[in-house]
Amino acid sequence: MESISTRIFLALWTILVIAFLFGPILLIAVYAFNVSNVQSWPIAGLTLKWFPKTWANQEVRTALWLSIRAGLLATTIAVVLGTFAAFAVNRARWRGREALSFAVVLPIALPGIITGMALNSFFVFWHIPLSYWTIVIGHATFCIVIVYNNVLARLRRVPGSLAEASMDLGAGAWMTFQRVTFPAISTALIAGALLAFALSFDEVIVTTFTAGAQNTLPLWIFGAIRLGQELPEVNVIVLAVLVVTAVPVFLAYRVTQDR
Amino acid sequence: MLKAVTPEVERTADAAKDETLVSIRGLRKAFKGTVAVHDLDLDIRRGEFFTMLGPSGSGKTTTLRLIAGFERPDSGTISLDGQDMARRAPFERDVNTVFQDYALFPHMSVAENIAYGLKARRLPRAEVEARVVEALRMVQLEALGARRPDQLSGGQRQRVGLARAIVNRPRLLLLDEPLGALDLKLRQDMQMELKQIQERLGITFLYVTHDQEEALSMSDRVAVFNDGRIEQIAPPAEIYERPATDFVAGFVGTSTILTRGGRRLVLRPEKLQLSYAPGVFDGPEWHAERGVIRESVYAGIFTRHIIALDTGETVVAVQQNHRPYAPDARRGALVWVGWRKDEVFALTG
Repeated sequence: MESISTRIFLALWTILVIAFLFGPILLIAVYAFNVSNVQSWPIAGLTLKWFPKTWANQEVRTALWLSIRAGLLATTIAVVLGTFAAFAVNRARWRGREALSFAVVLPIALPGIITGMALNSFFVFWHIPLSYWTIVIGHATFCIVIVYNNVLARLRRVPGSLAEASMDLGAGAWMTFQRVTFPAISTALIAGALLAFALSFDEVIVTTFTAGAQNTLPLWIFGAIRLGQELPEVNVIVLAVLVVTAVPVFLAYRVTQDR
Repeated sequence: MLKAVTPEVERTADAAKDETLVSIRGLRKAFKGTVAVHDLDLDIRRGEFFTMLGPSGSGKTTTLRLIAGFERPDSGTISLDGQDMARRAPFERDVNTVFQDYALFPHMSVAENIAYGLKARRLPRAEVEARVVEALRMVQLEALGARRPDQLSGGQRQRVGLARAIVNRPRLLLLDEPLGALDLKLRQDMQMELKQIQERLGITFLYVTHDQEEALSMSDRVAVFNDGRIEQIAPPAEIYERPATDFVAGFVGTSTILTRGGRRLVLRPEKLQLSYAPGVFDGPEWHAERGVIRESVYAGIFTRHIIALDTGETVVAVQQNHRPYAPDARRGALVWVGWRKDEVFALTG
């Protein structure tokens, strides 16, 4: 049992760490309601006027729509390919298993700037114009890892005897997948998809190299901050992005806690 | 205990008992160069409770998995009613398995688990429901059909695993150490119940265990496995009383093997009698030797004595405590160990 002073010290330290992590986020959230468009402390007063103004901004809308479309498609690709890869790696040992595992996980270990530059050179080399599709491909590279890791972790926890029992009872491979294996991994799949979407939605670095002239929401924010323009709108959007990414992460956490 | 068995099932129980149901010839399986099952030959009769007994790694579970279809043999045949099924998929065999870890589907209710095999075979809904109810009743879980596996105790899960398999009325039921995870009392109850269910249904049971007591008390015949080979196949009493090899003598029950007059005798602890005075084991049918009690362990029903004979060999003898604990049966006491010559079995070879 630690002494009272130790506990107080630990409590204070914890508060400091949390303040360090979440203080800046809280500040932006507060600025989103700031009457003045000059960001200074204390804020001049509270208002909601920036919300409709941001919503009316055509550039913001286009960027938001692009982000959502790219996120959804990248997540879909990730769910399909990541699940296949996880099943392949989870099966009995075969040649190239470790190599596949390494190749799939690599994009998340590599700095985004390398993935981004590599994809960019690849597209340029093959004369593929940067577009919505190149953004999706860029995002899929790291979204696959998320789904793959989640599903593989679950598959490793599901006893092999479940699939054996299903086949023993007369079910073929398809019924076994449909009725036993898929339900066993479904929450991991959902969690993986939610996390992948959240990652895609706020990705900047890889997107910078693959987006061309278009702006995803994070790219628009980055541009606006660099130019020092439309800062109140930026605050509103950051708040929105925060919610859009935090909710899936929270849901993913809840979904996987049950099991 | 056991209720309601359909007449249809009962008829199969009357089928000729000595007929061979499963015939295994030259079965062989190796994993990465380690041979788990060596050219195995085995016949299992219809309606029999057959047990494969052996230590872990002896090949008994691999044999079971080969019969279930979870592993493919390197060579050999497994015939069920004369048809070789060694290379068929598990879902193409009229065989069901009760798993050691139960392998219940966690996202399905008890009733859905039991109905799974019937649905896989696309039986009409009414029949599925009727047979699930019947199976639930047979394992005394009528009230728990709507529960999920994680809401059941270990013993209840085991019953669901059993019901899920027998509801399909397979020709052969495989049981892979099904009682291994249960505590002693529950295990003993389940042993009796399994035996009763087996006799009622007349389904051939192929049972895998490393527990010799379980094997002896439930089986019609036992195959003792060692190192991927079968050492002996015989009814329980014969396995125990007339072990074919040193391994069987040592693995099944406790025994001391002594060489006397060129014969290697298997001395079971309960067959040895003790006397604290000389001259008790006279007569031509007796053989007696003198020794000193090294250790005496009181175990309630019986007392186990470890005795150093004058020859320097050590034997183990147990005495029923049907009389009050003998005060002279203590460490260091001089003792005469006697056995009836006709009650002691000599190993051949």
